[in-house]
Amino acid sequence: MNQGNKLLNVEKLNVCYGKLAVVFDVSVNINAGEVVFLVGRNGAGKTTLLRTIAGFLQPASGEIEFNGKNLNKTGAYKTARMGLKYIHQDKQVFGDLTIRENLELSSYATKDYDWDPVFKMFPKLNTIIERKAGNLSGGEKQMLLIAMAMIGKPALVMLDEPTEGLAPHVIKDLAAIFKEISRTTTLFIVEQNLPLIASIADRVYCMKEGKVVNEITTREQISSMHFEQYL
Amino acid sequence: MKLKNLEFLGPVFIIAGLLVSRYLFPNKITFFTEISIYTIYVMGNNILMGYMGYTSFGQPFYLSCGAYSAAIYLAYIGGNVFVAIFVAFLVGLLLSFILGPSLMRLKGSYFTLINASLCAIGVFMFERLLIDITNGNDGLWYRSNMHKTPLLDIRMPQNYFFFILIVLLAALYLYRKIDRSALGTVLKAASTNPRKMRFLGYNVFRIRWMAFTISVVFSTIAGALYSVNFGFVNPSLGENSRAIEVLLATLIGGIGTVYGPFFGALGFLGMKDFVSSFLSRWEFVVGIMTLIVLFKFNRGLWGMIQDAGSFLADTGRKFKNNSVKTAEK
Repeated sequence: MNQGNKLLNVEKLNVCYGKLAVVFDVSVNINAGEVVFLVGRNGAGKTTLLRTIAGFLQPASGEIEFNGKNLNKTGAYKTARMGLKYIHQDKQVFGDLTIRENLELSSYATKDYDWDPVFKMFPKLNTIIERKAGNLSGGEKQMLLIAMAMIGKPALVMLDEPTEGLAPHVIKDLAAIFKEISRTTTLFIVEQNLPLIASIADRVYCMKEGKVVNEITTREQISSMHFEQYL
Repeated sequence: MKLKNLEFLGPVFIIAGLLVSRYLFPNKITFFTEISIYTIYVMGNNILMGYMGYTSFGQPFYLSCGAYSAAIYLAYIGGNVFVAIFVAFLVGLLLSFILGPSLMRLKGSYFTLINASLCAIGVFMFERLLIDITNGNDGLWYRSNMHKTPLLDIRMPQNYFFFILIVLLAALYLYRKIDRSALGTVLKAASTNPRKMRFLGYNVFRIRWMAFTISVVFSTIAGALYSVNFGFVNPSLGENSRAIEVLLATLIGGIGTVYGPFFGALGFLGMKDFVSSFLSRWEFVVGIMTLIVLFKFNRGLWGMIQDAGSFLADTGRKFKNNSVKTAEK
């Protein structure tokens, strides 16, 4: 990973659902090696922004560049193949398949069959590998989703509210995992959990009513949870 | 050796069962041949219905296209049966190449109904538009044009039965391979959560198209095998009303499974054959029996067999444990 290189560049992005505009002139930059958070109240446009970057929605105007390539008209599956993974907030796994089969699906798509780094991060998954994914707890499902995203060694992983609905001890574990992941992969996370953000964020973007209204870059401001007012 | 480890012999057991049945009931050889061909046809529908979650009312269209392509070849072009089957295979590929891109973008009832309309188009095409070639409702006869095949003269019903068993064995192993391979997992996953598949980097449209192609090719080959078996084909093979039959057979067997299509074909054709021998409106009884199977045993006949197997294995294990405890005492 070339630390500091511009990895994702979103310029003056506008997104609409039909005639309803939801994201207005949003500009976001993410450098390789960073852990960047996006905060804002419900309906601020955070998920829409992530879905647009991931290729699930088409922008009305603006530019999305990833690793120097324009993503404006790139479909979701092509974006994923380019090394930009997106984990939805719904925590949906392939419930009828086992953990092994879920991981295999990720491996078939990326041609990466090395699961050791993933099991190093989530040893528990290896111990229950033949269990049906539908029978996992919320925390385990989140681990599996992150594991699936990490197969293929993506350059950037975007997570949408990964700690939502999880027990405090699981959130603590996830914070450690995000720190571990950030050594090799850039993270862009939509989150509402203040202590988590304060503990690992390099930068925080704040959204309000479809616009980025603030960017917090200093460690002091992040530690003092300066972004709380936007939640 | 555990029972589970013998699973790979499943196709061999099915073929052995058909072989034994053929000698136990020698006058039912045509019926067993029909079950074998129908299994291949149900396999095609099972790919769409069981693996991809698509309900197609157009399977008779694909079946009749396969049957007519083989029949037209045999009636007008050549007499080699193997080439006729290969022609049907190519027609299957061509159909999926032409229809797949538009059909696989459709969802739910749109897919079902547009496929149903294909049946109507097919019947009209073979009955009216191509009447000079197909002889319309009178049907096309070509048995006398079929050449003798080397080693096994498959023009004879008893030999054709053995040929069909070889084809069925190959089809079952191919099907098992698809189910156990990455493709099988991908097909199932794409039907349950296509959005998540895109997030993993899969082109879901292409996966659907591939499944459609496999389904159509299985159907057209089954059609060709039918046309060779009967030496005759007419437009009724592709009628809309027949679409429900293959759907029922798929459900009766157990959807999304490797061996379900065989048990579906056996169950459906068996019920039809048995009931129709003493009741002209066999559909009524078959309908009620289908409802019973589906409501009471919604995993179909193959699911019932699996449950019975698990029950017997558990009972055997308990019995063995009890015997050991008694011996220890």
